[in-house]
Amino acid sequence: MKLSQLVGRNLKRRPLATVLTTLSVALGVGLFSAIGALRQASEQAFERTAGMSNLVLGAKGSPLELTLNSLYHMGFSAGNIPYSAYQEYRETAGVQWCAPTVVGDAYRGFRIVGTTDEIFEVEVPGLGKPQLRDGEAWSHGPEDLDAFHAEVVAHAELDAHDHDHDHDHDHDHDHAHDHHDHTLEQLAEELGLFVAVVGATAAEETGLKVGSTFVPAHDVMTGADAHEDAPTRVVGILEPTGTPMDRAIFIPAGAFYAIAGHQATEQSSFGGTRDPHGVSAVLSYVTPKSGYHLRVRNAWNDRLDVQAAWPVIEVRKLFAVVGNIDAALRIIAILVVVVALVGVLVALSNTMAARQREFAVLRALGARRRTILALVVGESAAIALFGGILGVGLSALGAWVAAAQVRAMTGVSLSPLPGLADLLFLLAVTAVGALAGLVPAWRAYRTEAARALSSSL
Amino acid sequence: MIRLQDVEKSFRSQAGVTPVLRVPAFQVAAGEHVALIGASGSGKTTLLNLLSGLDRADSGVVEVAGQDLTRLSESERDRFRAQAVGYMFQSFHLLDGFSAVENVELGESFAGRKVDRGQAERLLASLELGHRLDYKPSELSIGQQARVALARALAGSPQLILADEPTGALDGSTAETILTLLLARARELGATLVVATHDPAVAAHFDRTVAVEELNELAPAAGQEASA
Repeated sequence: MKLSQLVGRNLKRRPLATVLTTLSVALGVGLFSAIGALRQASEQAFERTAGMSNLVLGAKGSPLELTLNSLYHMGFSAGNIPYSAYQEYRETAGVQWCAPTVVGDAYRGFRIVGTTDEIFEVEVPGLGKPQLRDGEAWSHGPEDLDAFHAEVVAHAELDAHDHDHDHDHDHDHDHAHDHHDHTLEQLAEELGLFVAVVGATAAEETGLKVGSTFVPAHDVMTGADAHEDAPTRVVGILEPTGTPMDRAIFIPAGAFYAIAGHQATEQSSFGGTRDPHGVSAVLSYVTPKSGYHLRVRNAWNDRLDVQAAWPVIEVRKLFAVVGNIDAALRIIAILVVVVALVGVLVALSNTMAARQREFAVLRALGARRRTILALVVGESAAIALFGGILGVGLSALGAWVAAAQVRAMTGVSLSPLPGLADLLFLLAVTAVGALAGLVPAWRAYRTEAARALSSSL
Repeated sequence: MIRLQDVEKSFRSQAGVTPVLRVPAFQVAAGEHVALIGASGSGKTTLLNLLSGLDRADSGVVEVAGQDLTRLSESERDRFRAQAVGYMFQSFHLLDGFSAVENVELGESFAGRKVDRGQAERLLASLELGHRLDYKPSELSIGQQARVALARALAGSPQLILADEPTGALDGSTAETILTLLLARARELGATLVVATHDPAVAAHFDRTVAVEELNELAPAAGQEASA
């Protein structure tokens, strides 16, 4: 009979203690592994999204906030940048792809992003361009937007004129304003701008299908102030991309400008340029060749009205901060493992007195002292190893469940497969488990077989 | 096969050193079956432990199968015991978590040879336990436990079989059966057999009976019991 069989058989003889100590090790290892898996997977997923756009333009302020708001649809927009900045930027040498975004509306908690059809040309790392699962994408290019924007500005100027003119005739103001809004909306209607392409998760959770109509709401957080005058028709549903695009609803930016209330009141409480006809951000991909990326970034950062953020760097900065929390959590997990291994030590130690006869019999049958030592150390190491394997398995399961949750909440896809760090931790836990076993094993090692057999007659 | 010369053994404890055995000379021929008879505490078990190498004499010569066990290291004695000695205990000392056949396998597990499950099964079958191979000790009768203990002592065909009160826990007829089997199997193997017993009826079955009180100069006189 091999030593491993002896170890296995001895563990089976004490099922309750074996199961409980194994579970306690599994808990600690699982915690450690899950923290690492989630951290790594979420970092990768965040960086993948950041890879879609290597430069983001937005209002001056926190570049991290700009990145999170424009790419991940989190938090609040810091304000608008002038429309002219967008027009100028897209002609900048080195800019291979760019799409403006105007935000502020939502439907059932899913952000509505006003943009151009360039958004559907974005390269998602590892996936390519987003594909449509159903229907088709709307068409509203940069030139179309320029033309519509000119109309928006013209209407705004007319509004301003009306406002001055009606300064002493307030009773006529509402009528004039309504007249201009109506015209702009009519134009948008004629141009077919009240259309939407819906991200996969947003479609799934809202039940929106091709042909459905919905009414955008102005407040992202509460869904209050619905724009009843701008029913929007869904024309396409995107395939899942594993990015926050899955949770967004894309409409032509022109539609956003046309919706009543957006032209005159789009002012931010978070700073930034107060241009109601500007854009919230510009997502772009600048060629990394010949230093274009750096030059474009620096040049645009020098301007007073705009900042250029490098999403990958911002995401890494974010994870550097999160890393401290991550390290603290890992220390807690290690402490859980240590406590569990102490439990293994105590459980084994408690059996030593009762097992003196067993060790003596084995010695009488020819087992060496070191075989007895290895037997007890093996039992301790086996509990640590099986607990560790179970823990990694549980963490993979837990991370998988959490991944579904994170994806549902943010559109970020996590891939929680155990990594090299988990394997190394598993080996370390097994080694420490074996070391913990040395304490009771030493007692077993010192068993005087002749005496133990005599006293157990 | 066995030669003891001027062997002395003491036990050390916190209370001090207690001499328990002094054997000027003792010999057993190869293949001979010897009963060591003596009262409890006369030194029978100590003598068996010295012969198996489980314990070491403080001085003198304990030669078994040509090897002076007093000159071997502990691990060398372990190997010797695993390869050359079969041991049957009074209360059998079968391991609870292991089946009958596994307990028999344990008898061979430390000899450095490949353990033959088939041989262990045949051995048990020859002792009329073929239908109880996978039973745990607690599921066996006392007589069946004795057979498993005997099979374990015979596993690996040892040159020397030691048995300490092998029938002490058995009733008359079962004891007779086990004793008969032990002697027969030892004869088949050509093994030397040394059995410690306090029962003259058991001792009567052997080629030679040696009174430990006469062998061990430190043994209390017959009718008295020592603490060691």
